[in-house]
Amino acid sequence: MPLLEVEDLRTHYFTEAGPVKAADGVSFTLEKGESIGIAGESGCGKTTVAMSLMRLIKGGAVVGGKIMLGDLSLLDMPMKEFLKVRWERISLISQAAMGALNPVYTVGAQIVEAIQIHRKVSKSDAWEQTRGLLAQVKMDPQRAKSFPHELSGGMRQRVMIAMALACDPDIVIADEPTTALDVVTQVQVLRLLIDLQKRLNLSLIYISHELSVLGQACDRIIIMYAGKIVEMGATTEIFTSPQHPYTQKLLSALMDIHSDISIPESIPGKPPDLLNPPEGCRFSPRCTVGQENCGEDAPVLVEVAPNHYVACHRINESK
Amino acid sequence: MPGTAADIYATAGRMTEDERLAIVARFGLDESLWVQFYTYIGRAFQGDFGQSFTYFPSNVTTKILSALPWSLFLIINAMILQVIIAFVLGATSAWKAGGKFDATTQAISLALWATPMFWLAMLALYLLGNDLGWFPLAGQQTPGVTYATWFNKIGDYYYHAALPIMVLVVNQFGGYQLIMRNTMVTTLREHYITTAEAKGASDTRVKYKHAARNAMLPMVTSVGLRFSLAVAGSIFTEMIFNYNGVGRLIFQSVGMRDYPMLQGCFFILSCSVIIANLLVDILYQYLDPRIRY
Amino acid sequence: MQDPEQKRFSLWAGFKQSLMPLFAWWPEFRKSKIGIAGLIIVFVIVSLILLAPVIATHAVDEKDIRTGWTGGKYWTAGWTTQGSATITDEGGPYGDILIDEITEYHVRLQSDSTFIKRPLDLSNTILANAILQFQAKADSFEDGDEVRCLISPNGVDGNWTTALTWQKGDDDDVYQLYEIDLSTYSNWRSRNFWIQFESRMSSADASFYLDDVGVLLGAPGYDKLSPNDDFEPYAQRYQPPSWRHLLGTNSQSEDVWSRLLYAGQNSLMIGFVAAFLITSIGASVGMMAGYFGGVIEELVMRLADILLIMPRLPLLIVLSAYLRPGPWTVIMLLTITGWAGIARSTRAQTLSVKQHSYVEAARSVGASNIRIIIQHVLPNVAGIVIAAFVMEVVVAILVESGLSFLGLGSLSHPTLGVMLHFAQTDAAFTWNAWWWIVPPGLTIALIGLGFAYIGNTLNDRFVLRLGSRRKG
Ligand SMILES: Nc1ncnc2c1ncn2[C@@H]1O[C@H](COP(=O)(O)OP(=O)(O)OP(=O)(O)O)[C@@H](O)[C@H]1O
Ligand SMILES: [Mg+2]
Repeated sequence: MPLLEVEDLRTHYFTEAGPVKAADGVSFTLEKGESIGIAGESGCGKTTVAMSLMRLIKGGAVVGGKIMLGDLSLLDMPMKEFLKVRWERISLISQAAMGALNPVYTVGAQIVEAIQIHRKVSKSDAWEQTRGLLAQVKMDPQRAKSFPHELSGGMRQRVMIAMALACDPDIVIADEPTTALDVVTQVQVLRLLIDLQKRLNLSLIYISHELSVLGQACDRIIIMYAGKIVEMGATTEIFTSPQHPYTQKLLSALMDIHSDISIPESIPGKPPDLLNPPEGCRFSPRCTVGQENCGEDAPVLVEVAPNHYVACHRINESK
Repeated sequence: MPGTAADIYATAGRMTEDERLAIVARFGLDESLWVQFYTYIGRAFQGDFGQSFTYFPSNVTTKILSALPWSLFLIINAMILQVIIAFVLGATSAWKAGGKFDATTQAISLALWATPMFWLAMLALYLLGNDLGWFPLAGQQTPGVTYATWFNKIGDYYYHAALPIMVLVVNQFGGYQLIMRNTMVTTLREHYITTAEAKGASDTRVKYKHAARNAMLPMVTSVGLRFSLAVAGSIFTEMIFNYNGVGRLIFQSVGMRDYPMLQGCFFILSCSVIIANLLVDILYQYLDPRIRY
Repeated sequence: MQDPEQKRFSLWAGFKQSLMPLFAWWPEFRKSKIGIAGLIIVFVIVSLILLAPVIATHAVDEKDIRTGWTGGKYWTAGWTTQGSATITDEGGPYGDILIDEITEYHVRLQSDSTFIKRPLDLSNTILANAILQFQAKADSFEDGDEVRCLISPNGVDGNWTTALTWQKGDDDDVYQLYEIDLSTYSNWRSRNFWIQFESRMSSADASFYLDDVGVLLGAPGYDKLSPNDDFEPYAQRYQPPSWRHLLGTNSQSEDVWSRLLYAGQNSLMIGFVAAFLITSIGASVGMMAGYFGGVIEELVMRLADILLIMPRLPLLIVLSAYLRPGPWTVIMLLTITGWAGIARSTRAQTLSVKQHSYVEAARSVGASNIRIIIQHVLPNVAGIVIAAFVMEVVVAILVESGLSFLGLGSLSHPTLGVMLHFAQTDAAFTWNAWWWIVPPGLTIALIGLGFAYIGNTLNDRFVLRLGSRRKG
């Protein structure tokens, strides 16, 4: 039985113009000790999926689906119970490196808070643990007494990682943990995360729009487009035989950068408006290999190879 | 309101022309206005505002300094209460911004803010003081008592200050509440709030320990500027509740055209506003670690 | 190097165009319940106040003095007696006026040729009318017995004319009320009378009783009636609300409802003009300081900082203590002390607009400063300025009412604050005259609340843009 099982997750934001279907039938599983990456263009719903797992959706709601953590049904739990799942079982390293720490408390105090919410330990023990955690992320434990504004972006993100590990969670969600950092620091933080994941046997959900990063960090990759999963499979599968036209475009864009031959082939057109997504396959308006029925009914995920799923009419029919 | 105090006494038929001239000379009112002004400024910076016309031969400075503690007692108590109320109400209404509670508190605090304070004071004095008899009608302490204990003394002070403070608070907390609420709305969108929630913190903890703790900073800054509003408010409350502070002194001096007293009061109040601003700046450093030097 | 577009640019067209987005405010504004409530309240109150000439029931300074009769009696003592006339328990001394008080005063005339008489001097009063009133009864009169009431209107003891006569047949032994209208006498203007009762009775049983002699007074103005101030039922002072006076009357017998409407006009006028001056001056200073930022502008902003920190009301009190009160004085003082806040926020906004790339771009193609201000700065500060104007109306009305309440307002154009000033100084509450205190304060509060609701909504939606909700 997988550690985490997400089934047909639907999350909508309610706006004056109507519901924004930011996650529309997302299903995937996560095993113990596995790291899984979610990739996709900005606005495709990656953060929405992460926040749905934490039940932290603001301005919207999870309108359907099921999230099972072991035999706990996360969406059906009363909020009071669910507070214990947060951080104890699932912790979050959020997208905004700069703003994720409260500016008026020392970073140590913020880690201590995380510990003391979930564990009955004395203050001094909690501080002791905090210093240990900081050492674990290769920071000077004395830095516990610093305020966030006194730390560099990289150190702050390390603090976030230390905090995420504070309660020995089963799952860590890292939502673009390196986006706001400079390149050198990005690499350091990424290394640290990969290292910790291996060493602590964590289950990691790593969100990024950079496939190259996911290639280094993850066992499996999910490609999302406009609130839906279009392709999902082992990292090597995705990189060596991408099936969905969208994945192929993403990869060729990536390869172009690395081969340094020409400017990356950008994907023509804009990501769809999630208020009124296109009929049928959502990628069809931008798809260069599309066919007749693409604009009519939505393709479903089909297993094209063992544990390699693709949602595309072309592939499905050729099968 | 032109005219000198000497004119007032003269028209009130209490003085002969000779006496009037004597008084004019005594207070230097026969000098040109510029000379009077120059002399005045020179002395004011030495803390000497001259002698009061009405409380003659009392010195203006002594008179004001004996009234000032009472005013500060009202103002400081009122401001502390205002900030506490605004903190809780502002945080709570922003927590569900756009909801029923938010709309109601905003409507009520704006309405109270738009209500003239002196009118509120009149109604409070009449209904709560006079009709219901819950509070004393005037003064700042029970006349002629000797207090058995220190505790009784403070109690009596608060008993007399209760209505004035209440009126000040009710009329003025809205300003703080608006600042608190608006900052809180934006603070709640900050990422560290999401972090706190993700940590499994309870709503109360997120709301007060994380959001409100940050959102209160602009409100605290505004305390310095708003101190002068509280000073203005104390003029009305002291006048209506016959509370012998600087505000009442101003009111009486206006009626008697006691210019030295008026100017003295204004000077002292301005100084206390400046000092209040300095104190708030110092306090702010303790509340916002980013400001510490 | 001028581009053709710039040549066509006219000040007014640019002005209009730059403010166009503001005309689209309504769809956003109408979503706020508080904002709509504010609009309705302001609309209702402002219409009422502007309709004052139509709906006011009285002129502003019209004192309601009624010309009816008082129930009070002007008891006169000091009767001269002759013969067997007897007087027990005279009333108070001459000039005493007692209202609703039963006074034991009995006169008995017996046997022949007795009389009582006395002068009645009302010359120190200005009366519309006076009626001599008394109760009398004749007892056991025979034929030929007679009692007469004589009035001498010339202020002399003599020159008598007969006012009433009692003869046999009137003797039913029951007191009856008699009234003699003194104003019908020829020289009423002198208000100086003698009154005499004289009897001719043959029977020893016959007697005539007189009781409750007094004068019923009608007056055009109570204050001229008598030096004694207790007597004032003619003036409709402190009347509670009625159909005649919708909000009762004040200590001066003036109609509170009518005064309220006119005072509301003055308050609104002062509030609007002051707010307009404050916002236009403040916004201009702020934009100039933000856009040009020269030495003078910097100095002006320092002045603004000083003004902002100074306690405004005490400053206003000190200043207005030196000046002659009047609506324009108040407006001027409010403006001088009030522009700083808006100048500061406009300046901050201008500074941030100035940093936008489109301003840089406009400048680099040689657009004039005026043009940049109108096309780029103005539309960006307009939201702040309009919201501030609406709030400033409230503040101006509140501060003005406060000054007036302290007696520093414009008495020639009484505002709502002035009304409350007089209510306070005349101790309206000790008369329980809540109708004189509650309506003016409530009117200020409602005007203020209406504008505050509108201003706050504008501020929320167009300045802070706090529209969206946090939790679904
Ligand atoms: N509170 C909200 N109200 C309305 N729409 C929202 C809200 N939050 C997100 N959305 C919309 O939902 C969609 C998915 O947003 P989400 O933040 O999940 O994207 P993302 O994949 O994480 O993008 P990024 O790479 O920029 O972080 C976007 O189109 C976004 O505009
Ligand atoms: Mg995201």
